Amino acid sequence: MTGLIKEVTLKDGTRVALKFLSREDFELTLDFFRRLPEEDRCYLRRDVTKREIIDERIGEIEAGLATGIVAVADGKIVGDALLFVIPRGWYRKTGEMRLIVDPEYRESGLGTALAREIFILAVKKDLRKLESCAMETQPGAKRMVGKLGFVQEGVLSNFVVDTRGRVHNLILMGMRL
Amino acid sequence: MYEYSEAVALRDGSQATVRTTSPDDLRASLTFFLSMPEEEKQQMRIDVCDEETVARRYESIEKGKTVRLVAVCGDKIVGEGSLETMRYGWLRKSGEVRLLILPEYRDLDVAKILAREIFLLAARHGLNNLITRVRHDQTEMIEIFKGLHFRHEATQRDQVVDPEGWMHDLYMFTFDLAAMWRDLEDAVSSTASRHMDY
Repeated sequence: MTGLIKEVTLKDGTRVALKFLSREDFELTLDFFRRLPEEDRCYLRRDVTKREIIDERIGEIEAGLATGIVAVADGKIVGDALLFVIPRGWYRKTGEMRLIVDPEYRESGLGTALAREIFILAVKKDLRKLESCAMETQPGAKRMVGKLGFVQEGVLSNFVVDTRGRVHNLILMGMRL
Repeated sequence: MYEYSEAVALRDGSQATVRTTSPDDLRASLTFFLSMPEEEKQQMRIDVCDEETVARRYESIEKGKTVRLVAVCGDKIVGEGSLETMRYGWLRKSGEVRLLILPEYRDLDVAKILAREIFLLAARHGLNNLITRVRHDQTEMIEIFKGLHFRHEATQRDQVVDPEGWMHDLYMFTFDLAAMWRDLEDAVSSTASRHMDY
């Protein structure tokens, strides 16, 4: 497998491969996001069920703005993590972590395994801060990054719009490295 | 691409032009940034003294993501304002505002004039919110945005790095445009209903 980082064993004994995301994973990534329940997808930053958005996302990796790590089991992507860094200007020491796990693999330790790889990457890149944000109506997302050590730094009222057009508060979480 | 130009009077009666920028403004932009106080240059988001960095800012104009306005007195840029928008995704109803004014023009309403145009642009884009990010020690900028009724909503600890590698807190100020339009509509409806009584 190209870009393999490691294999991990989840709480229930399932073996999952963690690998760097590249263009060869285009179709699998699209399939992963399209398989997510509508309730999860509507809260995501971009409409990742569209080919052009997946292309843009992989383009960001190829341009050196982001590093993606995916979890693969039974030939399918079951988790996706992205470390996004703007390499210039005052944000160059801050990375943003974006993480989503297949509902069937939640509470299995996969989210933590992916986040751990993002932390390692962040340290290797000499970042000093990690941030993550989620809509206030995604309590699961807030709980998960909270367990990883992120603390809430603020709430932006009525700041983001989901794919159905509903307006939500945006929670900002951060962790100093 | 959006184009705009208007003659305006500053508080002291002097004349200025507020207009959209073009790549022809690169030299004047560099002069403008180099004229900013040294301490404020160190606090900025990007290295505005680097020609390549300043030139790169024009790329986002060409992509239609950012509208940049300048206030010009004679042939000198005295203030710059920008509105950056996302066309899709969860931030599609929010815009990021940046304002920068030469110190000697800060009491002459240049920020208000630029902000007014940015608010109108935001309305045209159908935005609900405006946001600006300011380093904790950018006191002049903080005063400008407070004066424009932006609200301090979040502080991100050790979020940004300065040219010497020190981390600084970042303040997020927001302005709820949707609420402003709602209040305005309510005021108009209430006035209209009073007139109906006659």
